Amino acid sequence: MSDSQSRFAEFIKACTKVLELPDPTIGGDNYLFQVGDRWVELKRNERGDLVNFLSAIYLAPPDGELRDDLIASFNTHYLFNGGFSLVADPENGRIYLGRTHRLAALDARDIRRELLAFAGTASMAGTWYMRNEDETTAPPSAPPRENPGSFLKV
Amino acid sequence: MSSLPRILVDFAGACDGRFGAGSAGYNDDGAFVAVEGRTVHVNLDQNANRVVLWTEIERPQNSPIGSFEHAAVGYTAREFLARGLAIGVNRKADLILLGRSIEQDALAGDDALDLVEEIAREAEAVGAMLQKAARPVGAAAPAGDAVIFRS
Repeated sequence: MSDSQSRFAEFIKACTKVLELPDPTIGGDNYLFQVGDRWVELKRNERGDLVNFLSAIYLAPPDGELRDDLIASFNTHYLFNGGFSLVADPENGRIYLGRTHRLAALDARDIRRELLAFAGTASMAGTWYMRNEDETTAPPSAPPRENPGSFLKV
Repeated sequence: MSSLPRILVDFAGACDGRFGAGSAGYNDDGAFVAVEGRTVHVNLDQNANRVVLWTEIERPQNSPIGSFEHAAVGYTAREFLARGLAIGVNRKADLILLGRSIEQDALAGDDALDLVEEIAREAEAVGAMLQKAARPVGAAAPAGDAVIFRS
Protein backbone atom coordinates (compact mmCIF):
# COMPACT_ATOMS: atom_id res chain seq x y z
CA MET A 1 0.00 0.00 0.00
CA SER A 2 1.47 3.36 -1.01
CA ASP A 3 2.03 6.11 1.51
CA SER A 4 -0.75 8.28 0.14
CA GLN A 5 -3.11 5.31 0.09
CA SER A 6 -2.36 4.37 3.68
CA ARG A 7 -2.83 7.94 4.93
CA PHE A 8 -6.23 8.06 3.19
CA ALA A 9 -7.17 4.65 4.58
CA GLU A 10 -6.17 5.74 8.07
CA PHE A 11 -8.35 8.82 7.83
CA ILE A 12 -11.36 6.80 6.65
CA LYS A 13 -10.80 4.29 9.46
CA ALA A 14 -10.73 7.14 11.97
CA CYS A 15 -13.98 8.47 10.47
CA THR A 16 -15.79 5.15 10.75
CA LYS A 17 -14.62 4.86 14.36
CA VAL A 18 -16.03 8.30 15.18
CA LEU A 19 -19.28 7.39 13.42
CA GLU A 20 -19.39 4.03 15.20
CA LEU A 21 -19.52 2.15 11.92
CA PRO A 22 -17.89 -1.22 11.18
CA ASP A 23 -14.22 -1.28 10.18
CA PRO A 24 -14.03 -0.25 6.53
CA THR A 25 -12.44 -2.10 3.63
CA ILE A 26 -10.62 0.42 1.49
CA GLY A 27 -9.19 -1.01 -1.69
CA GLY A 28 -9.22 1.98 -4.00
CA ASP A 29 -8.90 5.72 -3.81
CA ASN A 30 -12.43 6.36 -2.59
CA TYR A 31 -14.95 5.52 0.09
CA LEU A 32 -18.70 6.12 0.20
CA PHE A 33 -20.85 7.15 3.11
CA GLN A 34 -24.60 7.17 2.99
CA VAL A 35 -26.06 10.28 4.57
CA GLY A 36 -29.84 10.02 4.68
CA ASP A 37 -30.88 9.20 1.13
CA ARG A 38 -27.69 10.55 -0.40
CA TRP A 39 -24.25 9.07 -1.09
CA VAL A 40 -21.21 11.16 -0.26
CA GLU A 41 -17.97 9.92 -1.75
CA LEU A 42 -14.58 10.76 -0.30
CA LYS A 43 -11.98 10.44 -3.03
CA ARG A 44 -8.28 11.14 -2.73
CA ASN A 45 -6.16 12.51 -5.54
CA GLU A 46 -3.20 10.62 -6.91
CA ARG A 47 -0.66 12.47 -4.81
CA GLY A 48 -2.71 11.83 -1.71
CA ASP A 49 -2.58 15.41 -0.41
CA LEU A 50 -6.19 16.23 -1.33
CA VAL A 51 -9.50 14.59 -0.50
CA ASN A 52 -12.57 15.52 -2.49
CA PHE A 53 -16.08 15.27 -1.12
CA LEU A 54 -18.37 14.32 -4.01
CA SER A 55 -22.08 13.67 -4.32
CA ALA A 56 -24.24 13.16 -7.40
CA ILE A 57 -26.74 15.99 -7.69
CA TYR A 58 -28.22 15.46 -11.12
CA LEU A 59 -28.90 12.72 -13.64
CA ALA A 60 -29.83 13.85 -17.11
CA PRO A 61 -32.74 12.16 -18.90
CA PRO A 62 -31.77 9.84 -21.78
CA ASP A 63 -30.23 11.91 -24.60
CA GLY A 64 -30.43 14.96 -22.36
CA GLU A 65 -27.37 17.20 -22.37
CA LEU A 66 -25.73 18.82 -19.39
CA ARG A 67 -25.89 22.59 -19.34
CA ASP A 68 -22.29 23.78 -19.52
CA ASP A 69 -23.33 27.40 -19.00
CA LEU A 70 -25.04 26.59 -15.69
CA ILE A 71 -22.13 24.48 -14.49
CA ALA A 72 -19.52 27.11 -15.39
CA SER A 73 -21.63 29.84 -13.81
CA PHE A 74 -22.06 27.84 -10.58
CA ASN A 75 -18.31 27.28 -10.50
CA THR A 76 -17.64 31.01 -10.62
CA HIS A 77 -20.03 31.87 -7.82
CA TYR A 78 -19.47 29.03 -5.38
CA LEU A 79 -15.70 29.02 -5.69
CA PHE A 80 -15.98 32.18 -3.57
CA ASN A 81 -18.86 30.92 -1.43
CA GLY A 82 -17.71 27.77 0.27
CA GLY A 83 -15.29 26.44 -2.35
CA PHE A 84 -17.81 24.20 -4.11
CA SER A 85 -17.60 23.14 -7.75
CA LEU A 86 -19.84 21.15 -10.05
CA VAL A 87 -18.01 18.25 -11.64
CA ALA A 88 -19.55 17.03 -14.88
CA ASP A 89 -19.57 13.47 -16.17
CA PRO A 90 -21.26 13.96 -19.55
CA GLU A 91 -20.70 10.36 -20.61
CA ASN A 92 -23.04 9.21 -17.87
CA GLY A 93 -25.16 12.35 -17.83
CA ARG A 94 -24.29 13.04 -14.22
CA ILE A 95 -23.23 16.10 -12.30
CA TYR A 96 -21.50 15.88 -8.94
CA LEU A 97 -21.01 18.53 -6.32
CA GLY A 98 -17.39 18.59 -5.20
CA ARG A 99 -15.35 20.27 -2.49
CA THR A 100 -11.62 19.90 -2.01
CA HIS A 101 -9.91 19.54 1.34
CA ARG A 102 -6.29 19.06 2.22
CA LEU A 103 -6.08 15.70 3.93
CA ALA A 104 -3.86 17.29 6.58
CA ALA A 105 -6.61 19.81 7.38
CA LEU A 106 -9.35 17.23 7.87
CA ASP A 107 -10.19 16.08 11.38
CA ALA A 108 -12.05 12.79 11.67
CA ARG A 109 -13.77 14.10 14.81
CA ASP A 110 -15.67 16.57 12.61
CA ILE A 111 -16.72 14.02 10.00
CA ARG A 112 -20.37 13.76 10.98
CA ARG A 113 -20.84 17.53 10.76
CA GLU A 114 -18.86 17.71 7.50
CA LEU A 115 -20.87 14.92 5.86
CA LEU A 116 -24.21 16.37 6.94
CA ALA A 117 -23.29 19.87 5.80
CA PHE A 118 -22.00 18.62 2.45
CA ALA A 119 -25.07 16.46 1.86
CA GLY A 120 -27.26 19.47 2.61
CA THR A 121 -25.35 21.65 0.17
CA ALA A 122 -25.50 18.91 -2.48
CA SER A 123 -29.25 18.77 -2.10
CA MET A 124 -29.51 22.53 -2.57
CA ALA A 125 -27.14 22.47 -5.55
CA GLY A 126 -29.32 19.84 -7.22
CA THR A 127 -32.41 21.94 -6.65
CA TRP A 128 -30.61 24.99 -7.99
CA TYR A 129 -29.54 23.20 -11.16
CA MET A 130 -32.94 21.73 -11.89
CA ARG A 131 -34.73 24.97 -11.20
CA ASN A 132 -32.41 26.80 -13.58
CA GLU A 133 -32.60 24.12 -16.16
CA ASP A 134 -36.37 24.13 -15.89
CA GLU A 135 -36.26 20.37 -15.82
CA THR A 136 -38.46 18.17 -13.64
CA THR A 137 -36.45 14.92 -13.64
CA ALA A 138 -35.77 13.68 -10.11
CA PRO A 139 -32.15 13.43 -8.91
CA PRO A 140 -30.54 9.98 -8.77
CA SER A 141 -31.41 8.06 -5.63
CA ALA A 142 -29.94 4.65 -6.46
CA PRO A 143 -26.58 3.92 -4.81
CA PRO A 144 -23.52 3.76 -7.05
CA ARG A 145 -22.63 0.31 -8.30
CA GLU A 146 -19.14 0.17 -6.84
CA ASN A 147 -18.06 -0.25 -3.21
CA PRO A 148 -21.25 0.40 -1.29
CA GLY A 149 -19.42 1.87 1.74
CA SER A 150 -21.15 2.31 5.05
CA PHE A 151 -24.48 3.53 6.23
CA LEU A 152 -24.46 6.60 8.38
CA LYS A 153 -27.57 6.96 10.45
CA VAL A 154 -28.74 10.56 10.69
CA MET B 1 -4.27 51.06 9.22
CA SER B 2 -5.67 48.16 7.28
CA SER B 3 -8.70 46.31 8.58
CA LEU B 4 -7.54 43.19 6.77
CA PRO B 5 -6.89 40.03 8.73
CA ARG B 6 -3.27 39.60 9.64
CA ILE B 7 -3.10 36.43 7.56
CA LEU B 8 -3.41 38.40 4.31
CA VAL B 9 -0.84 40.99 5.34
CA ASP B 10 1.62 38.24 6.26
CA PHE B 11 0.87 36.41 3.05
CA ALA B 12 1.58 39.52 0.97
CA GLY B 13 4.91 39.84 2.79
CA ALA B 14 5.78 36.21 2.07
CA CYS B 15 4.92 36.77 -1.60
CA ASP B 16 7.36 39.69 -1.73
CA GLY B 17 10.04 37.29 -0.58
CA ARG B 18 9.23 34.68 -3.23
CA PHE B 19 8.15 36.72 -6.24
CA GLY B 20 10.18 39.89 -5.69
CA ALA B 21 9.94 43.08 -3.66
CA GLY B 22 6.77 45.00 -4.43
CA SER B 23 5.15 42.05 -6.19
CA ALA B 24 2.33 41.76 -3.66
CA GLY B 25 -0.11 44.14 -2.06
CA TYR B 26 -3.48 44.22 -0.41
CA ASN B 27 -6.57 46.36 -0.26
CA ASP B 28 -9.93 46.14 1.46
CA ASP B 29 -11.01 43.19 -0.66
CA GLY B 30 -7.99 40.93 -0.32
CA ALA B 31 -4.40 40.48 -1.39
CA PHE B 32 -2.94 40.31 -4.88
CA VAL B 33 0.40 39.26 -6.24
CA ALA B 34 2.10 39.71 -9.60
CA VAL B 35 3.65 36.49 -10.86
CA GLU B 36 5.37 36.59 -14.23
CA GLY B 37 3.20 39.40 -15.50
CA ARG B 38 -0.06 37.94 -14.22
CA THR B 39 -2.07 39.01 -11.18
CA VAL B 40 -3.19 36.30 -8.80
CA HIS B 41 -5.89 37.47 -6.38
CA VAL B 42 -6.42 36.15 -2.88
CA ASN B 43 -9.85 36.62 -1.35
CA LEU B 44 -11.12 35.45 1.99
CA ASP B 45 -14.20 33.26 2.07
CA GLN B 46 -15.06 34.11 5.67
CA ASN B 47 -18.14 31.95 6.12
CA ALA B 48 -16.30 28.80 5.08
CA ASN B 49 -12.96 29.60 6.72
CA ARG B 50 -11.36 29.28 3.31
CA VAL B 51 -9.37 31.42 0.88
CA VAL B 52 -9.74 31.66 -2.89
CA LEU B 53 -6.68 31.98 -5.10
CA TRP B 54 -7.70 33.05 -8.58
CA THR B 55 -6.68 34.81 -11.76
CA GLU B 56 -8.62 36.15 -14.69
CA ILE B 57 -8.29 34.34 -18.00
CA GLU B 58 -8.28 36.40 -21.16
CA ARG B 59 -11.34 35.74 -23.24
CA PRO B 60 -10.68 34.11 -26.61
CA GLN B 61 -11.09 36.77 -29.27
CA ASN B 62 -13.98 36.93 -31.72
CA SER B 63 -15.78 34.02 -30.09
CA PRO B 64 -19.03 33.98 -28.16
CA ILE B 65 -18.53 33.24 -24.47
CA GLY B 66 -20.60 30.05 -24.78
CA SER B 67 -18.25 28.55 -27.35
CA PHE B 68 -15.66 27.33 -24.88
CA GLU B 69 -17.78 26.60 -21.81
CA HIS B 70 -17.79 22.89 -22.65
CA ALA B 71 -14.00 22.85 -22.56
CA ALA B 72 -14.02 24.80 -19.28
CA VAL B 73 -16.40 22.29 -17.70
CA GLY B 74 -14.30 19.37 -18.97
CA TYR B 75 -11.13 20.91 -17.57
CA THR B 76 -12.77 21.39 -14.18
CA ALA B 77 -13.98 17.79 -14.09
CA ARG B 78 -10.41 16.57 -14.52
CA GLU B 79 -8.40 19.11 -12.60
CA PHE B 80 -10.74 19.68 -9.66
CA LEU B 81 -10.30 16.06 -8.64
CA ALA B 82 -6.55 16.10 -9.25
CA ARG B 83 -5.55 19.55 -7.98
CA GLY B 84 -8.65 21.38 -6.78
CA LEU B 85 -8.58 23.74 -9.79
CA ALA B 86 -11.76 25.06 -11.42
CA ILE B 87 -12.57 27.32 -14.35
CA GLY B 88 -15.55 29.59 -13.84
CA VAL B 89 -17.33 31.39 -16.65
CA ASN B 90 -19.79 34.15 -15.92
CA ARG B 91 -21.64 35.25 -19.03
CA LYS B 92 -23.27 38.27 -17.45
CA ALA B 93 -20.00 39.67 -16.17
CA ASP B 94 -18.10 38.47 -19.25
CA LEU B 95 -15.62 36.96 -16.83
CA ILE B 96 -13.50 33.81 -17.07
CA LEU B 97 -11.38 32.80 -14.13
CA LEU B 98 -9.15 29.99 -12.98
CA GLY B 99 -9.08 29.41 -9.25
CA ARG B 100 -8.90 27.13 -6.27
CA SER B 101 -10.37 27.38 -2.80
CA ILE B 102 -8.14 26.23 0.07
CA GLU B 103 -8.49 26.10 3.82
CA GLN B 104 -7.48 29.42 5.37
CA ASP B 105 -4.76 27.82 7.49
CA ALA B 106 -2.99 26.73 4.31
CA LEU B 107 -2.21 30.35 3.48
CA ALA B 108 0.40 30.53 6.22
CA GLY B 109 2.97 28.15 4.74
CA ASP B 110 5.34 27.89 1.79
CA ASP B 111 2.86 25.56 0.13
CA ALA B 112 0.53 28.52 -0.44
CA LEU B 113 3.21 30.26 -2.50
CA ASP B 114 3.56 27.11 -4.60
CA LEU B 115 -0.21 27.12 -5.11
CA VAL B 116 -0.11 30.76 -6.25
CA GLU B 117 2.73 29.99 -8.64
CA GLU B 118 0.85 27.03 -10.03
CA ILE B 119 -2.26 29.16 -10.70
CA ALA B 120 -0.18 31.70 -12.64
CA ARG B 121 1.56 29.01 -14.66
CA GLU B 122 -1.59 27.02 -15.29
CA ALA B 123 -3.46 30.13 -16.42
CA GLU B 124 -1.24 30.33 -19.49
CA ALA B 125 -2.10 26.75 -20.47
CA VAL B 126 -5.79 27.30 -19.74
CA GLY B 127 -5.88 30.45 -21.88
CA ALA B 128 -4.38 28.52 -24.79
CA MET B 129 -6.74 25.59 -24.25
CA LEU B 130 -9.84 27.83 -24.28
CA GLN B 131 -8.58 29.70 -27.32
CA LYS B 132 -8.28 26.38 -29.13
CA ALA B 133 -11.73 25.25 -28.01
CA ALA B 134 -13.43 28.53 -28.92
CA ARG B 135 -15.03 28.87 -32.31
CA PRO B 136 -15.55 32.13 -34.17
CA VAL B 137 -18.99 33.70 -34.33
CA GLY B 138 -21.16 31.68 -36.71
CA ALA B 139 -18.92 28.60 -36.84
CA ALA B 140 -20.26 25.11 -36.18
CA ALA B 141 -19.79 23.48 -32.77
CA PRO B 142 -16.69 21.28 -32.50
CA ALA B 143 -16.85 17.66 -31.43
CA GLY B 144 -16.92 17.52 -27.62
CA ASP B 145 -13.80 17.04 -25.58
CA ALA B 146 -13.54 13.68 -23.94
CA VAL B 147 -13.93 13.92 -20.20
CA ILE B 148 -12.53 11.16 -18.08
CA PHE B 149 -14.01 11.30 -14.65
CA ARG B 150 -14.23 7.93 -13.00
CA SER B 151 -11.12 5.85 -12.54
